[in-house]
Amino acid sequence: MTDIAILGDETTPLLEFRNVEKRFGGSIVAVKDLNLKIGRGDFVAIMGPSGCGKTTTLRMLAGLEEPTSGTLLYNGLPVNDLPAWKRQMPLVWQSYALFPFMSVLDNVAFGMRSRKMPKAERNKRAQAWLDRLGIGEMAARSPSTLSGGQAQRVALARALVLEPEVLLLDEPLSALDAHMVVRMQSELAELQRSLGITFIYVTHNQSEAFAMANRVVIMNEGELQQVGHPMDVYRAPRTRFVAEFVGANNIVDGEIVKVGEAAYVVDTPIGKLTSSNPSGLEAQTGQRVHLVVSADMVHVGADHSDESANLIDARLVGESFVGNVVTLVFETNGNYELKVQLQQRALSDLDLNINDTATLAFGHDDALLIPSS
Amino acid sequence: MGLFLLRSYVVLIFLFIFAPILVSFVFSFSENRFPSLPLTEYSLVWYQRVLDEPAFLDSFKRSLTVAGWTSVLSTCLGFGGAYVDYRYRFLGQKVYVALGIVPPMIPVLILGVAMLIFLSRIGLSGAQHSVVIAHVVLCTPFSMAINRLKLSQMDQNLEAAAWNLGATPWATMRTVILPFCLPAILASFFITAAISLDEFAIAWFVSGLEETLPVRVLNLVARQSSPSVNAIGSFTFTMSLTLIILAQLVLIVSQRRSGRNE
Repeated sequence: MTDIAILGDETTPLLEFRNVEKRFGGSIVAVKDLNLKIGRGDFVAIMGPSGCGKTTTLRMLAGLEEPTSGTLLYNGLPVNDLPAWKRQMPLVWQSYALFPFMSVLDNVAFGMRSRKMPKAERNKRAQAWLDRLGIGEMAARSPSTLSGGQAQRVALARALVLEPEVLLLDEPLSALDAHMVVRMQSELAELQRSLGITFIYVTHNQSEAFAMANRVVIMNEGELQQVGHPMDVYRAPRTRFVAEFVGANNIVDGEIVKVGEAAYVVDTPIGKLTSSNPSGLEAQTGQRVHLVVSADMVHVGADHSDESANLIDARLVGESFVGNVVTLVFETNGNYELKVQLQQRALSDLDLNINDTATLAFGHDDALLIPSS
Repeated sequence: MGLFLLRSYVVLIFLFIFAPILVSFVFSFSENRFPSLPLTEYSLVWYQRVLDEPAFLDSFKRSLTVAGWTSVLSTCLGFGGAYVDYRYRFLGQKVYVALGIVPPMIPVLILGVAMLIFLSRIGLSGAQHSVVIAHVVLCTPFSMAINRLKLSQMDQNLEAAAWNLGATPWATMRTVILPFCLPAILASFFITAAISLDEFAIAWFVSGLEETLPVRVLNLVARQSSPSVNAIGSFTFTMSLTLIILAQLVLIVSQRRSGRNE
């Protein structure tokens, strides 16, 4: 692969999808016209609900699926026809896919076997990686005797021992216990930082992706929805799907009735709301839009004198707790539900009971406009 | 009470099935020319008689050769057939699998006649290799079934994982698929060998003058009743049983090993 590495310079993305499309059986479209560039050293999370095409995208990178049309470039060179065994893009499988009849050490050394490396050298490197991941004493064990977390580390060692430029991970934490997931997340993020290689991580789990990645790619029904830094995607979703998929967002449909100097007035079923955050939308009077407000940007119990905020009276109808975060569900006049996220402490200060009415407030700046789909 | 009845029932069934074999076993060690109770003298005279007769030894050697070739060939074919079904999705796959299962369901008599007609038409009948060909047809479905079962237990991604780590499809076959299927392949060797050793009807049709042991035994029984038959029967029964038990052991041990963490 050295000849390819020379061709790639700083400006060439490590990986690029150019108009890539993947169809199965002629009619089922798994990935639609994908254009995506992935840089060196990125930790990219490809996210979306099941069936969104994220795994197909990963499998195309690994060479396990061939694009139906379009070009996949690696260091600026098309690799559509490069078979999987020549790609050097090891994958960490959801099921780990360890070879059950080989010892842990032989599993890790497997990839070096096809590179004709002498056995002693192979085993030395494999052992070194097992030690680095803290499972050195498992070398002689059979994979079937390992716990999920240990098997996960073996799968990682088996891939990383090949010193790849790109590591592919297919929902690697989905089979682990909750406490292991948190631990592996920080370990993976740390590993990626210290190795400086590109991680491409497929998941349907938003918190996993946001905890580790510095770039998230959101897909739905085979289409790319949004690419960007996790915070940007979280704070400024570009489509209704993304707004629903990331975070807890309130989405209200409406029509722009007034375009002001720095603010837009939107007529919605819960009243006229003002937004000063069109997020690049060339908004015009009469245009239908979705107004998006993140649940943690809504304040409870404002007084009506505040001119810089949207104010809505609503009745508390439900609450749910996850850790110390409370999600309150309010109902407005037009039977519209609004979600509000609070710290538990803030809730006890409010002294609010079910069926109580309160005034909800959110800033003009926190009301995001996205085009109606 | 119900449990007791059920157990007695099972014991009776097994007794019903195995009693004739047991009788043959016991009388093979009796010196008497005719089976009679009580047994007077134990001896190995009938075994000696069998060993002294070249016709028996020849047919026994022939049976072993046929079983050897049959087990190798039908295991290769059976594994290949099972792998194709596992690896590829194609039009008519269900028909393909069904056709692979059919031969043992055809009455052996019909299979035997059909084989005789077919083999003699292409000039391959009446010899040792005719029996091998016919037995491969009969045994391959068993081998395919065993290998399909094993492949169905394989992680769907195991093969792709090997490619992903740089192994070519051939290297993957050698280093991943075959080692994974090894228990099934061994079991298939034993079982197909056992089937071939015991098989009589088809061999009778196609073997011509190159008789296998079961055919030889029938010809003997047709002419006279000799306690030698008991000796041969006991011997072949033990051999077949050993092969079947070996096959089961291989499968059970491998099952235990792979299922340990489930």
